Amino acid sequence: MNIRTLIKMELINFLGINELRHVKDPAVKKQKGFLFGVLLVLYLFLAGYVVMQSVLLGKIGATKYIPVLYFVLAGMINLAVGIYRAKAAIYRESDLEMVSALPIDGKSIVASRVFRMYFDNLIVGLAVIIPSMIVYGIKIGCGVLFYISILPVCIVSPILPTAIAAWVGIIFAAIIARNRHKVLTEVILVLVVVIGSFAVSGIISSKAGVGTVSSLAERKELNEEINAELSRMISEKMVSFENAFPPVKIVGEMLTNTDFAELAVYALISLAVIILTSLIIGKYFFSISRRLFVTEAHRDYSISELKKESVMKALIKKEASRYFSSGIYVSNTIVGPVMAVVFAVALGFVDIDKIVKSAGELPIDMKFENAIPYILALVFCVMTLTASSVSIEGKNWWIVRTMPLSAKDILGAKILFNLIFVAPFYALMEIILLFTVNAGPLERLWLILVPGLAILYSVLLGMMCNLKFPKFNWENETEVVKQGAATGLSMLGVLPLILFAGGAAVITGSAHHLLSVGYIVVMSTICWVFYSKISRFDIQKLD
Amino acid sequence: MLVIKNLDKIYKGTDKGIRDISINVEAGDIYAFIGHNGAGKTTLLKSITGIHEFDSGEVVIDGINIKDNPMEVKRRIAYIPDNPDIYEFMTGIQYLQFVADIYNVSAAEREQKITEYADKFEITSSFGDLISSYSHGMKQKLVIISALLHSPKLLIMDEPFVGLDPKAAFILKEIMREMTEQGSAIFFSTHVLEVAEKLCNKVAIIKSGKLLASGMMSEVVKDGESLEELFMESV
Repeated sequence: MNIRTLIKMELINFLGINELRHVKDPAVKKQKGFLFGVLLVLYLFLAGYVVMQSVLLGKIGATKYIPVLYFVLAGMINLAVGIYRAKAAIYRESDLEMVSALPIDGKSIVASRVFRMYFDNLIVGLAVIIPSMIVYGIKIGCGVLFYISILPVCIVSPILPTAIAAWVGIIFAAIIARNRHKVLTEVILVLVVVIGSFAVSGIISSKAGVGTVSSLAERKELNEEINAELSRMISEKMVSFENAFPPVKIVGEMLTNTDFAELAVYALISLAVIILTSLIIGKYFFSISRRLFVTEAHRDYSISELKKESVMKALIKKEASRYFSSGIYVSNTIVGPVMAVVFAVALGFVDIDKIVKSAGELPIDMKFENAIPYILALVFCVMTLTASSVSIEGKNWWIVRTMPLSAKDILGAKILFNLIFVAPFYALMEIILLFTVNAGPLERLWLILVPGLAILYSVLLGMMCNLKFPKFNWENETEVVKQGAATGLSMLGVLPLILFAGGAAVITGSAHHLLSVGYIVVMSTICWVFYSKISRFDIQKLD
Repeated sequence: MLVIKNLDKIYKGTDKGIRDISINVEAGDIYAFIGHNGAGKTTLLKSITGIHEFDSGEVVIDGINIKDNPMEVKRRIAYIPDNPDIYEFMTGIQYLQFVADIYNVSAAEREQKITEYADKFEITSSFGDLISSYSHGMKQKLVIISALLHSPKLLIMDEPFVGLDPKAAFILKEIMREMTEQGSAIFFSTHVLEVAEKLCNKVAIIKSGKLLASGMMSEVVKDGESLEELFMESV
């Protein structure tokens, strides 16, 4: 009974539905409805994209691999997202006192939270597996039993990735709980996982390499010879992937043969793993939680000389304290700048043009080296602090609202802090690029200006998005830092950078410098417009 | 010091809020604002401190209209909320330093005031620890100290005695008396009617967003009647 109640509580506000139902303010209701609509559209886009890719795979003769490919892809998405969220999903400070005082054991609490993780993964999995399986079924001419099997497959597929992610969550939590410097420990762990994931995926890609084959098919005129060649390449890669990871072969056969007995065995094993996971994590839930959220107190302070500082310095120091006190905030936003530095180093060892051309001949002459400034800009701008810096004020928002501070003071400090924070990474990246990239004077100028302007753009865009979609009544920082509408929208805002990157790679010769000049003009103008709007923002609107 | 004229604030999509509130708080007043749960006390306090935007009416503090010059008004007031939600990622002394910097309090003055009030409330030794390690009462004391650093002309408090131990409550009352003797004014909501009756010279009673009574304590509360009895009759 407890678990059912706890699961109900976990799901009650899924995608903000409960708030949407009960909020009375029409303007807020409209905003929440809009955000819900955007999520739905993105979800349908994902399903549509999967349909498109599946049809394409069918056209090049790789139909038989569709079910396993998308089963594995859904699993990988679930795993990546699950690992990213696991610790915060299972261990929450906001309701620890409440659940500690209730007659509920740790196992029930963990079971409900792991179920919530599973449910989120299920929703994503549905958008990937159902369309791909339907396309496969139509292509092959499968019977009714195949279509009946789709739903059970969808239900079973997220279980193992959720269990693995939960294990990562408890390992993270246990390590952090034992360390004095909890925030630093969390950041290091996240960076190790992110950089490690890139390294592992690089190794897997080089072995299994189901990379750009389908996109090559899009670019080249489809004819039988090319299809046969692409199909042979996919088959070879899939065989080596199956040899490297035998469970993939078992899953593939289970899906294509519609073997309910095998599916049931797979489901039972997955269930056993996740139940065991929940039981073990649940056993240590309270002890780890208490150690995670304990704050030391010495009670031995005596007042010494107090110094006065300027208003802006005080505000920036406050922003810095806020930022570095939150493992979630730091680990989410530091990845971009760190990866930009890592990428700058990697450029000294890899030749981008060679790597791309090794995948196959391209229909037009492209020079990816020209796109480096834009790729660096993209990496830097993935997640900015400002996208959640207003929302993260949360219940403390009243403090600056009752102080003699203008919107320019409050928001300006947040923007400045973001820029101060990324400045060392940007400077380090530029110094490294001096050694890793051979560039003429103009190319060097673009390497400096393009990422620099992009950083400013993303910081201001993040602020604009957060002012448009603030969220103060959160219980867990994850809600605003990882799941906030402002965060999501500000990430979409980097799309123009992708266009510029593509353009830079395509346009060669001196015309590519004109593109860079165009970029600088456009971005500078956008930044100026954003800054003007932010400076004049009526902070009273943020209630 | 505080003039509220025909203030309206209704939450969108509901009929909840405050209607046609008019209150006059003069220098030297300790003005209590009482009402049942959900009556609109916090709504009024947040409207006059600039946290909420109000729909109509006027709020003038020390001769300055809050809509014309909110910054100048905020320099003259201090607000203590009902829940001491302050920056838990700071230590106590860091928070006080932050507040003092925003209000441009000199180094000497802040040192003198922090020392004085921290000693009175007996929390000096905790100032080096993170606020997240504080109890509710300790946070409340810290918020009170932070509100007093810039010597506000108007102190606005929402149920300030909640969470304070008897000694701290006594000290707060002393501080309130001292402030008003020096020409400041205090406007606060409370459920502790005995304190309101003993401490305050003026009182206002609100019910379901509307003012039932306001004015001098001696006029609102008749002879032979207590504030509690009046409250029970009214609400």
